[in-house]
Amino acid sequence: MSTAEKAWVTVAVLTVTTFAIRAFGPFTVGTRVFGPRTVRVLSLLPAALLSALVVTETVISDGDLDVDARLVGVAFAGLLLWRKVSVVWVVIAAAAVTALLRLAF
Amino acid sequence: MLAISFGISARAAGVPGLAAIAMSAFVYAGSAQFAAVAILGQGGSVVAAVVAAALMNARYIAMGVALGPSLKGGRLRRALEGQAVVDASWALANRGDGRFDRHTLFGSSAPQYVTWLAGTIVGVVAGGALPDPEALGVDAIFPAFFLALLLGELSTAEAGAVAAGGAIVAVALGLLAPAGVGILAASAVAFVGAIGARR
Repeated sequence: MSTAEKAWVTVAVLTVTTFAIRAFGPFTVGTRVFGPRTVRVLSLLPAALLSALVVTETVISDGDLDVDARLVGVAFAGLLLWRKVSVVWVVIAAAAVTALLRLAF
Repeated sequence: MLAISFGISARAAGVPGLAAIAMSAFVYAGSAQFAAVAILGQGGSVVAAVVAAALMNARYIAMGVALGPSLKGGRLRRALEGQAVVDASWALANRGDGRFDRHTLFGSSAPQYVTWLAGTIVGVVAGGALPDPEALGVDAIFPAFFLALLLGELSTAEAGAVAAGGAIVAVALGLLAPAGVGILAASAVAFVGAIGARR
């Protein structure tokens, strides 16, 4: 399957699953569905997934380690986030630093 | 602006423009959309992309359970009203006393939906016009955005430990296993973290 075909199937499936996920809580009002441990797993999932995405998108390309200008751009983004710069500027700055380094070397 | 970068990045990842726009229109969940497209861009399977996005959205289940009693009508009406939940609208509507303001939920979600969709369209068009996205550093957009979201999640030591564990698992498996598998495996760290914290 090409990336384009995979993208369309992904859109179709996600449309249904996301609807179901959003509907679940309001639909099941009045029935106690989750224990505290399940709620804790749900709340920790984004931290695990997001950090996995940060590192794989930063230093892996096509299944291989690929350390290049992108890593510097993302590190600069981290610095700006630490300085409480808004996300929009952080994203633009990360791309700009990466682009400038690629232009320079 | 984030929607524009979503559109540009989706094109750079090989996702057709219309598919990216349809995703913003029908899925309307920023972090899940970014995750799914990132995995497809890495060459991952549909299953990996869908499961990662669903796990990313799993927080909506907990948010929906909290919101549910504040919505009106029967089950189906509430299920439809619950579609207005995104992180920002849910947080704004939260009155802090266990109740939620429906009108704030809808009132903040509607303009955000329009902005998100319009931004995606602009990004897709702009992304299609870029001759060489890599030269412009477009591949740094995804990780920078994920980093911003991640820092928002790191409110507890537990979350920090889970994030560190997830990163290690993802890099190790990212080099050894097919694309996307490492990211899914990293989510297992959340289960370990939640159970470990009970001791």
